[in-house]
Amino acid sequence: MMIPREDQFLTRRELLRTGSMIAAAGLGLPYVVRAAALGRSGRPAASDRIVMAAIGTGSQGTSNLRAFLGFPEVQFVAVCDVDKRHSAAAKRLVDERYGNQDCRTYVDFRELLAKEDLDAVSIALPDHWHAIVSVACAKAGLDIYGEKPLARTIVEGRAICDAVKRYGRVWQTGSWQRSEAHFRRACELVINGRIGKVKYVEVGLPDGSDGPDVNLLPVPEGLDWDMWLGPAPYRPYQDFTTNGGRTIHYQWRGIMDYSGGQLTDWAGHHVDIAHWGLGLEYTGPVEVEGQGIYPKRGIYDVPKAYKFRCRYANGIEIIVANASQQPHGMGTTWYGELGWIHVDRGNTLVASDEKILRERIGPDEIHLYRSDDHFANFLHCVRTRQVSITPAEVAHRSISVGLLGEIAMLVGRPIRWDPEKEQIIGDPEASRLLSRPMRGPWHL
Amino acid sequence: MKRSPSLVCLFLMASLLAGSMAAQVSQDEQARIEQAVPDRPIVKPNKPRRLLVFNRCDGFKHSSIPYWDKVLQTMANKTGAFGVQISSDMSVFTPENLSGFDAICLNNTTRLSFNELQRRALLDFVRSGKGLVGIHAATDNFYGWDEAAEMIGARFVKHPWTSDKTVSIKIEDPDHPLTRHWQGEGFTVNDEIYVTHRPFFDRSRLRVLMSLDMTDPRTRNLQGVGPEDLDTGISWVRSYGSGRVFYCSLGHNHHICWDRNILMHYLAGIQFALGDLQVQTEPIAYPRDKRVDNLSGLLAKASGYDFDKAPDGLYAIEQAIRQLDEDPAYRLAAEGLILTHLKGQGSLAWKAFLCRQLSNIGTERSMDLLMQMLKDGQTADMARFALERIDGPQVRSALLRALADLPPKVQIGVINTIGNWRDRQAVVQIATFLDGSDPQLREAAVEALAKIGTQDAAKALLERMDKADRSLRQVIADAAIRSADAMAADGLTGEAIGVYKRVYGSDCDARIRAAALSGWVRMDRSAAAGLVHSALNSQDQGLVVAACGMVDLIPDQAGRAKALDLLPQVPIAGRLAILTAIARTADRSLAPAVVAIANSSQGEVQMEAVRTLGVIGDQGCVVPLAQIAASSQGAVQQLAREALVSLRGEGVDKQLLQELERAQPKVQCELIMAMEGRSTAGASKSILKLASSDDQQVRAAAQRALGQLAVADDLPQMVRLLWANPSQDMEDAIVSTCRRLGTAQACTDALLQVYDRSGPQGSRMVVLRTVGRLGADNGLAVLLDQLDSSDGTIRTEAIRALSSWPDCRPMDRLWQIASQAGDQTERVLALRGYIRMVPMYQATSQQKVAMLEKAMSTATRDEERRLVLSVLPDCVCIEALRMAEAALGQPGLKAEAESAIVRLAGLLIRQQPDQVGAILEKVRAGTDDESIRQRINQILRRPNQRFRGD
Repeated sequence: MMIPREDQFLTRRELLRTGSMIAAAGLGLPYVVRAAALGRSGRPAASDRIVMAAIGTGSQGTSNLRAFLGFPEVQFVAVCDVDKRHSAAAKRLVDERYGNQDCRTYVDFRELLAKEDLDAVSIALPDHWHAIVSVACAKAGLDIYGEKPLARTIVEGRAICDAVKRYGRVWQTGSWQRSEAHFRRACELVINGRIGKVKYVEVGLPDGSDGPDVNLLPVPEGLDWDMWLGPAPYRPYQDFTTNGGRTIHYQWRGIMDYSGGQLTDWAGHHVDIAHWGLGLEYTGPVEVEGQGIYPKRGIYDVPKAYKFRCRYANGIEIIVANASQQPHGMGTTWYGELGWIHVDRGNTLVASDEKILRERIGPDEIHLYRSDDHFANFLHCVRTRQVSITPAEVAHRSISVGLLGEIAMLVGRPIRWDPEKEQIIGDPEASRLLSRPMRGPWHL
Repeated sequence: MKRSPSLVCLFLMASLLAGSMAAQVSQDEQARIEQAVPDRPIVKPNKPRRLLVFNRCDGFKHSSIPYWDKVLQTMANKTGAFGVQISSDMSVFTPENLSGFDAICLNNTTRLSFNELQRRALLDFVRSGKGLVGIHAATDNFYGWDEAAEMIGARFVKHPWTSDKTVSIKIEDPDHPLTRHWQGEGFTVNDEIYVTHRPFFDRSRLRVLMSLDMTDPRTRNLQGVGPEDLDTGISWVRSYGSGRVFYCSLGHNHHICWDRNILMHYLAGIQFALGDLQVQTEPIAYPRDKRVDNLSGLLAKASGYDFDKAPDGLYAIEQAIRQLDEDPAYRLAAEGLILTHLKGQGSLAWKAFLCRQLSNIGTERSMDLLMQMLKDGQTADMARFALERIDGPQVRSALLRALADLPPKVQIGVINTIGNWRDRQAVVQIATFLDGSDPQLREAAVEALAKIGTQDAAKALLERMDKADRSLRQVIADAAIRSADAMAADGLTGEAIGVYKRVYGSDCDARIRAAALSGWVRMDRSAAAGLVHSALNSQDQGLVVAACGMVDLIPDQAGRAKALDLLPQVPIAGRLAILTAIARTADRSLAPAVVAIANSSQGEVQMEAVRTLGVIGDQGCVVPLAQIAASSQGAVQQLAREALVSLRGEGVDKQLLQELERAQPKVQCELIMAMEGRSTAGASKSILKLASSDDQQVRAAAQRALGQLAVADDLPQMVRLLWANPSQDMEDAIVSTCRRLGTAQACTDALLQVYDRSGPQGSRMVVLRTVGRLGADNGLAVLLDQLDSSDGTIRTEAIRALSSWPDCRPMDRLWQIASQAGDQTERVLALRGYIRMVPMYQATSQQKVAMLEKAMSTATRDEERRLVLSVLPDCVCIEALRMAEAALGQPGLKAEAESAIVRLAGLLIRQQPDQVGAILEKVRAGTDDESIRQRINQILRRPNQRFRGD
């Protein structure tokens, strides 16, 4: 029996949950289902499941959807995308998983939120949409798995954090590197002083590139282009498939109206790791300055190459640049008085001296939050109301570094930042770039 | 009206006055003035000229006035350019009196008040073809008389550059007769500088000759200098009707009066005003700057832009504008250019781009045009994009004024923008939309008030909350909470609490009431306990669970403990939330209560309780956790073990040790594991005792733990135990300990001491094996000796141990056994050991290859032959390559041979490219392995490249 949405804060699931619910991650366990809790189909009873929907089922959204579908305790009931081709494909995936036709599809997330009785959502949208949808979901009482970067601007990011806090929601950012053992290990070594006092840090993110040339085409069948644009300034539909390129669904990252490029796409990964190892994840730099090289042609206007320096109040400097400009390439490298440590994907963890990597961390030292599975961690926190391993505030601080770098490079002069008040000091023009006016009628 | 005195009287008075004021200028200063005044006029006057120098002050009286009087008199005397008459009598301003003059000079006059007739007289005077000169404070005049302020081109606003400051001045018109003598070079000067703004200072009417150089940080970065002051003119000329106006703002400090260049400037200006010096007076709209011309060109080129065109031209413009910071005046110029284009024809795409630029560099100067664009639905968004970022008091009031008359769609956007600004002045007007009939406008208004978040905004919302229909009520309640959050952030704690209270007490969904409760509790911690407790007892399950998550906001222990007591009565989800909240508090005093919960719950709740103990627990949790670990399985057990390892505090390790003696075996195991995980100091003795326990599990756990915990003087006992009761665990523990402590040698001694050749076979085997793993020098003898043991099992063990010896001293003996031993197994083991040692042997590569050849021919199985091929690449010589080549033909060895060849070839090809190349090609032709083929290709292509793994 479905209870109408408006009258209930907690879904009937919340009310009816019994003790036979699923086992949990805790201090490092994978999210496993206890045999006793499984129903006849090998899954928890319907009333015990975490009911979810996916908003945005393009490339990343589908990948996340697949991951969540692998958890028997999750039940997807709906998918939402402004491109009907995407939502149809996602629906197929969900229906196949459950062996029925029940998955509902939506174009407008507001309709989804009004009509569906959900516990949580998985959001994967272009950056310019993150804030509006995230805030709406938090207001609707849902826990959220949201992709990085947290938001397109610093003001929007703060709005998301405020909404999540106001409504007591669980937020997990798609910064899954924290749930990989070697990243946590690297950060634990650094934060427990195994390389001594850290002086500076290098973060390497992907190089940018020129974009394809413009090619106006009619809006493809099934895509609601105005809705795709949402709060971003109007432009007609552009698609580069006839140029051997890809659709807008793959090109938006290079366009400033929607994203800050590779810099903002990846800041939530390696800058976040840099912060984690230094205990700086709830604050920010006090000065940022740098240079970007911008394309002279093509549809992309985000920097092709970028390098900026962030100075923190405690004297540490973090230098963020595209990989070609960093000695260790991609990843994070901390330089301390006693040596250095470099960490990257693909289990890459190296140090100036091998012995450092064999060091043991004692019980009275700092042990960082352990999660062995990023999605499992989210689901566990949905149950226990624990803070996830990458909550909104942390995501906000890591992307803020990227956004401040973006601003500093655009205005071409050093900017001073107050991380407590979250204001740029003494530079009204740079301050304008902390937010983006939204196309009517959209607002936060 | 007084009758104006005759001109003669005027002259008399004037001279008297002049005389008395001139007395303030010292002799020395007079000499300096004399020196600095030009010897000759700029041009010969067309006829005798008369200059009326007016120096009355109804406002501030500048001390430089007598100095300027002196300057002008000296000019008159020295150059003959004009005759001077000084006055401070307002009655001079009649047509008759003025007619005798060619120009009027206002010498630092302030706050003069002109009646109607005097006004007419002055204006007519200038318009009719005469001149007006202003020195410095001359623009501190004409309040309430805009026409005159506009005539002279300024009305004083402020002087952030005070008389002690030094500023930089740039010459905007270097070829002008008034500025030519500076030859285009700017200069610095110490003087007080006036600021004046539009509409009086207007470059479309004035020809600005000099202005402040804002690229100089000292000039620009003064307190009180705002963006609106960036274009500060210093001197200018203009035509007015048929007449002429010249003004220069320098002249506060006395020393200006003996500055040669400045006096030359004034002389030229005066002669211009008098009508003798012909100069350009056309306004120059912008500072003449190459960059401006460049930008102008770029804009013109790109002005045909539309969405379907390449954006290349736009990037060039953005680039040019990004360089603006160096010169704020350039920024103003750029803004002007953009506005010009925006007014013109052009696609929507082009206009949107221009608006985007204005959003970065625009000022209130753009406001009028943007406001116009707001009225058109097609351009409203782009205009608002710029307006929102430009912001500022004028923009805000303009937008508010225009709001009511805009189309509804645009109104929504404007309301959103006003909300983003948090414009307090807008509350009343925005609130009017709350009662309108358009739901979208209503919602926009609600959200805007939420963002503005003042008391008035909250009040307006709350007033309508209860009357609204259900769905609107939720929206308003949400907004009220949001505005309360804003008020709280602004420090209005009490007011915020008031709003939270209202919403909490209203008839809204649980999630909204929960948000209100959360805000309230955060703002008023002293009330937290009471509020949370009562919410925990609420009928509304949703509220109950939300309140569970707020238990950590209760500041006092008693309050938290009481909340914990309520745990059994809340839903499971709530219990989990409470435990999570308790964990956040790190409040140790609650540990016993959580222990009780852990012991009385199952499933998820038990797991969370155990996890929480890991965070807040102390030594009192040791026993309960160990007991839970001992009596559970799976996830709970795992969590309990991890909790034991992560307990903090000095007493924990002590407690673990203490409990060890008296605990039940299963619990003992847990305690031991915990100590192992914690590397508990001083535990080894107690654990050593348990290493020979009767309970098999305890024994195993103890022995394993010793690997992590044993200290050097435990080793002898461990060795004795190993002999007495051989076990893999103890063997591993000894080896681990020795590795950790670096005591392989001493330990081998101990092992040798217990070793008894007539002892039990099991013991002898394990000791030999351990000696082998330790690899210490002093262990070699016994292993070699036992090669001759009559017991085949012992012999085999000795061979195994020697085969992995860290150096190649056993080689000869191993070879002996490999070639001569009777037992097949022994021969194979020894051969394998021998083969592995060859690379370590001190000999040339060729010699080592010979040894491997011997091994190869001695080998009876393909496994050993493959082993030979696998170590062959350590002998880097062509002989090794040949040996591998020879093995290619044997089916069981082909793969290893190919691999060995490729590795060797990579290192040898540079030295002997032909031979090596030939072998490689042979292999490539005959291989089935794609990766081998690719490696060969790489080597042949680039023989100098090093490959990974070589």
